[in-house]
Amino acid sequence: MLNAWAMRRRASLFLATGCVILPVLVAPDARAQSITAPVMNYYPDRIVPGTGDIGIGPRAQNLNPTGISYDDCAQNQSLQFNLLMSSFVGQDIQVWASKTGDCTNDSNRGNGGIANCWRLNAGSASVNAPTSMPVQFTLRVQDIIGGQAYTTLPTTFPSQTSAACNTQPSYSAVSFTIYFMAISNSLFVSGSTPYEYQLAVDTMGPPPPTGVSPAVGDTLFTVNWNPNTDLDSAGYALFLSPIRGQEGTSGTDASGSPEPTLICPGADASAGMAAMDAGDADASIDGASSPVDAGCYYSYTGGSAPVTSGGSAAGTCPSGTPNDPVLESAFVSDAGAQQVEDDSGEGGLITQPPGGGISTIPPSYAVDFSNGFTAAGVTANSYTITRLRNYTTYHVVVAAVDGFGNVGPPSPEICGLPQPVNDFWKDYRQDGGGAGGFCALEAVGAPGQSMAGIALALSTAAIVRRRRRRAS
Amino acid sequence: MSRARALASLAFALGGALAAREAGAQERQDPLEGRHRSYESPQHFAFELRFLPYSPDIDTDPALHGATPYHTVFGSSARLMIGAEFDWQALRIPHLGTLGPGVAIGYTKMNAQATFLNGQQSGETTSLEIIPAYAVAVFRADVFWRDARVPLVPYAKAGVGYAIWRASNTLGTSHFNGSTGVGGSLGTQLALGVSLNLNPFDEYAARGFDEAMGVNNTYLFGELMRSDLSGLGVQSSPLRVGESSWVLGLAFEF
Repeated sequence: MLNAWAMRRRASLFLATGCVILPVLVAPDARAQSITAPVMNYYPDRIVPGTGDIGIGPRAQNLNPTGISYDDCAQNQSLQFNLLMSSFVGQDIQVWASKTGDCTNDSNRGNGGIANCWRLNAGSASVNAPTSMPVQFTLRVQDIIGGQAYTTLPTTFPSQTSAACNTQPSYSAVSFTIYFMAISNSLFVSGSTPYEYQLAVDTMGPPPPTGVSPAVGDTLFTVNWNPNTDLDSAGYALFLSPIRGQEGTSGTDASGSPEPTLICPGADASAGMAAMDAGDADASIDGASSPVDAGCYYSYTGGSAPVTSGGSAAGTCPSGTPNDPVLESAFVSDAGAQQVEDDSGEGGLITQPPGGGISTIPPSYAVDFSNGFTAAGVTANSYTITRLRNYTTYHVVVAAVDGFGNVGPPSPEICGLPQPVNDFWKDYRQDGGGAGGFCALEAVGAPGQSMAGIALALSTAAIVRRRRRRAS
Repeated sequence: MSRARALASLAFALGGALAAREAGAQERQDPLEGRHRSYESPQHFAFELRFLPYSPDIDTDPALHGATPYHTVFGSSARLMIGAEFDWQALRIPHLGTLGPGVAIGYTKMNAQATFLNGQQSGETTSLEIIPAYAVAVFRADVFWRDARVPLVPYAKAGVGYAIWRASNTLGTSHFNGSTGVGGSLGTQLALGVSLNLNPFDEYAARGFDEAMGVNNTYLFGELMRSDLSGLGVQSSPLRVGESSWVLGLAFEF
């Protein structure tokens, strides 16, 4: 009896306990707020102001299409996330970003600790979505990137400007994590499932190659450099001024007049692009009154009349020199942290920072972007620009390009003057050599040669005839 | 000094030859020799890897009237040519050697900096590529090795040669006044040489080479050759890219 009673009591206790504990274990899961992506490996669409939705990324696969480049940031692109939320009963949805911190940890959002996260202007308060519902978030790239500059967490998070695109501290790519999560009373809802998205960002091109030097030939300009050893470079872009095919008439003399020879100090970084002095506006760099352009002047050979007026003394350039105001303006406008104009004297130096940056040279000056963004591969140490005009001074800079398509700051400018050369074939032919072609057989010439040829032909004919006779 | 070296080399070769001959004599007394010979693979072909300094006779062209464009542009130093030759030992003459046709091809290239009109060096390169080929009759007198176990095989080659050449610069094939810097030159090919059979220096390896790869004999050879690509009397004004030179290389009979 006792045993039966005890057993019955244990069973009822077990059932009662189960009825109490099981709902406790199951209920939080069933009510846990969640934000999820609609598919595995989800990528948000890009929204470009004035253009609209351009898909997940316009760049080629080798240029990290789902990442953010400087151009993406400067265009003020937004990322549009279409996610799914469920089980929200009055909680907030907030979106935060971080480089290093876990934003589901309340202290990383500034609650009692050092803030490593910054809030993005998206999300909703007091959301009611008991069942699975779609939800859209549009995040500005500049807001995502700009927060990395915060040293202390602000109380409000204003929209960032294009200045955010210059906040990357080094030229290596940075990874951001964006958190979409349930918040209640400024605290992360314990047990809820946030959605986290990893975003690769690189808004700074690699530093330029060193040792850039020119070598000119007949209608060509070969640029040599030391390849970058950093992993961030994916190739090199070359910029040429004047643009090929738009040389105009400057510095030319292809019809027997005195030939101008450009004196180009190879090691002088200022050659051809330092035509600015203190206070000069960029637009007036090459104006007639602009007095200096150190290291860039003409001398004249084969005649006495100068090709251009304005003087040719060292340190000055006459007006109408090949210096290109647009190209130079691009150098100078890339100011701030990227390049510094030294106004300490006339014809000051353009110095390059040790780190990366972004070139602002217009793409129209780029040479042979064969695969869409670079002229030369990452291991290349030279490139030959062809189809140039002889006796025209060309100015060239080289910039490294990273895997996001960011074109870094340019190298010191080099210049050169393509002109005709004598190669072996030209020398040989000018000296009287007559070779050329594969079919230079002939029966005329010296008697001995003719006889040998005739003998060879007769022998061949005899052999053929004899074989035919045997065959018949 | 060079004479002493030459004497030492000759002594070494003779010593090697005598030692090999002695070894050959001992081998004949070896009761296993017959068994080994039965495993020797058939021999019908020869292959040569050839290395030679190349300095073409371009400047000897009478049409140049003493001008030396090749020397002026590329200098006087010879370039290395690498070549290969394949021979068919179609006919074996007992107690004498083999006779048959052979074909060969080689490659060399010379580069220099082109000069501006004022004589200063430009940033442009000028190059000359030469791909000489020839078809020859090859006679190899291997009687000394086969009958007397002296591992020296003199040989001779004679035939016709044809070289394809291309003058180029940084922009590609050179052009001047309507002429293109590419063409071919025809001529004669002659060679005399001697091969040193390396088999007696390591007979075990030689047998293994034969059993594994079918290579009967391995030679180190030296050769004097004359490639006279001056047109053979039927070609006008060829670029004289032939030359006279010595050749060193490795040969394999299989």
